[in-house]
Amino acid sequence: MSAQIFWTLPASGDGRSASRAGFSRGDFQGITRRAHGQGLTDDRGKHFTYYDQLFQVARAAESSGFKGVLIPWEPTGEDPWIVASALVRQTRRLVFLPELEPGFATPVYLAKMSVSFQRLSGNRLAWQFELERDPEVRRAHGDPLQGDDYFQRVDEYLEAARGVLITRAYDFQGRFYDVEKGGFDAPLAGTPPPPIFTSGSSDAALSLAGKRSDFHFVHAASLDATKSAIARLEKSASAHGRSVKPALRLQVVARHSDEEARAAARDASAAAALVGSYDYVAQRLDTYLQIGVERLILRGYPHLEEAYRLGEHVLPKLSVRRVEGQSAPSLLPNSNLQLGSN
Amino acid sequence: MSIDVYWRLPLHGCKGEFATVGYSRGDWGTPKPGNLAPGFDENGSDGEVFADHVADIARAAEISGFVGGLLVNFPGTDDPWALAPALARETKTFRFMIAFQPGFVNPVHAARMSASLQRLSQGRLVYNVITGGGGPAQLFWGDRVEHDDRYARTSEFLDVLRGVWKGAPFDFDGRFYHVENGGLPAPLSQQPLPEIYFSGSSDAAVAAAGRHADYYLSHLEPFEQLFRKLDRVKERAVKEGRSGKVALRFDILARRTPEEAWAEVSRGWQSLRPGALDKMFGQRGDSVGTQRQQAFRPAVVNHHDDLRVDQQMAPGLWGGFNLFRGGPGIGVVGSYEQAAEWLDRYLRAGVDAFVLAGTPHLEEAYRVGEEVLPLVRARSFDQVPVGHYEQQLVAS
Repeated sequence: MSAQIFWTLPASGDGRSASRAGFSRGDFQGITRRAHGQGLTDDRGKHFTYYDQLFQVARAAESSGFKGVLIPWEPTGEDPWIVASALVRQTRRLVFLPELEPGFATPVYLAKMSVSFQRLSGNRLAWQFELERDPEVRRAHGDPLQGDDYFQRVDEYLEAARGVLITRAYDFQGRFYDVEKGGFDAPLAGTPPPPIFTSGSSDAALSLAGKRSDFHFVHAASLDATKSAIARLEKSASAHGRSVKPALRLQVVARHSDEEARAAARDASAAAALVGSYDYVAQRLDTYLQIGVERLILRGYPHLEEAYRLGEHVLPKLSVRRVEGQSAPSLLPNSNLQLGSN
Repeated sequence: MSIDVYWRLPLHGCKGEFATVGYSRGDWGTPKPGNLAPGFDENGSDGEVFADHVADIARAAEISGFVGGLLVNFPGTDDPWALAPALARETKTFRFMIAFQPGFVNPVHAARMSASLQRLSQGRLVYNVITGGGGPAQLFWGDRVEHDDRYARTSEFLDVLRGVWKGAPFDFDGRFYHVENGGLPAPLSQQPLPEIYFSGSSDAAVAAAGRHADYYLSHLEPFEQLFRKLDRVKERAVKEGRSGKVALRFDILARRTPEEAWAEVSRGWQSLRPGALDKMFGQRGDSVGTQRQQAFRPAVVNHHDDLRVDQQMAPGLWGGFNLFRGGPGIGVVGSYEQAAEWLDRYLRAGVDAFVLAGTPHLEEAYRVGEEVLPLVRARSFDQVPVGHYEQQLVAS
């Protein structure tokens, strides 16, 4: 398997600066948009929603050669499942990785929703679960479990959600979930299960990832930290006789020169993990790929312009042979193009 | 008050003719030439997916004047929570009535999903809350909760959903749900709460509907049995200080003349496989509504005419629709005028909304929209008092 580069959809607003207070795209700061100057015609009215902007970002990512998009779950944001489902028919190749709270639906119902998503998208769904959500946030979302109980439930959840997708007459008896003769008949049967991504750096999270995940997000604080996190992940996975691929999330500010990038990062007040010239950023990303990271999930503000920038200036510099989806795009017209009418 | 008329989106597949058994639109049947979405070509499949066809039906329904559609939800269907957002950006006015069992989704996350869907569709989400059985055993779904307890859970679910929708801080400590300092973020909580269509015929269902439903949604039953139930629903709703509006869901097979319509039924009847009747009347799950539908079955059924319902009132109700697809059995067969008269009859009796359907769903949306709906004369009164249905029964 070769590596893939994903982009990120900003599920709780976007703007020219990474500073949330200044977000001018989306209505998350109580600002709808900047009005035109006096006397200028503005026909936008209520014709556009934030989803029109999210669609623009998704198309930018797809067009710029990203393999897929992560849709982060944030307490202040849109629901990632709805964002993914809303945009999937208007894109052709993009893989959608919505971040879902383990327990937002029952495992069987998550499986059912996902089967349909796979059917309508040509199998472009992957699941991301944050295993270390702040307990206070989880309590606000009807999930009071903590500690071992919580991890045991998530363990059952991931087992049952995948099990019911790949087995007919599926039986499961757990502490938290029971399923009797579950599973799907044709044509819902046989749908490929979405790959499971997880994140979380505690021992409990790594242990669960080793047992259940296909990909797990590791640290990016420094190259050494990333290496040691990968080593811990490998150890945890091998304890279960499995292999779990490392993934990495990075906010990037890339410009022609290091100086320009640093200035941009200051202006953007960005907590960016990776700031530098196109060459430098490409080199660093290559290093992550070389030490075994299989999925790089990038983001930058504003998400549309930066997707194009990285697609045009950085992705072409990566070790192309190792990276899927970054080769020269086909110029053949695609008959499956879905045009929106809203 | 204006009458909302919905259409059904067949997330279980469709077919080109009412009278055939088995689906040829979508991939529920055996793939063969003549199948659509996916279609068959020299490579095997033409690359269409069933969602392409569902989108076509939704657009046919909205352009024909239906306010939206019911997205049905069974183990064998595609899922409304995946389809509705996918189609929202491909339609303009179509409201998405999502059928779902509340127990399968966490209420706080359901609120976020719903509010996001409202933002995406600009307020076009409607709920069809289903709680009872009707499908396979609940453990297929991984659901341990028993029938009557499920209504208690539905009630809590909707309390939590409404609570977090108003924003933080919302606390709840119930039998099924516990929430601490919950609430939707601002731009989401400003969205309108979806209208709630509530289904279920048991006492537990009627009690929960009285508390939560904007519309109580029922299948057709024989007229008298149906309106005694609707009276019960209305009485309960008024006690809870709600309006007690009701909606009916049924299929229409309408043609220019009654003869043409019944010829379709007759053709279908002749194509039935042995045992189809027994299968149709077989018990499924713990749904009281299904049992009530089955109650009208005559002792002996030798001819499709034996499945006529309320023949003494007026021609045109027939109880064999579920011989040709899953779902409710009783629907309307007849001329465009007869179909419109049944709609008027229900409107006069106090019905407030309809969820209609016909096969094939795309073409029949146009037909019913063009030929039947224009003939309906909306009723001239707005409020339906308690006991109204009883009086209608006497009058009829």
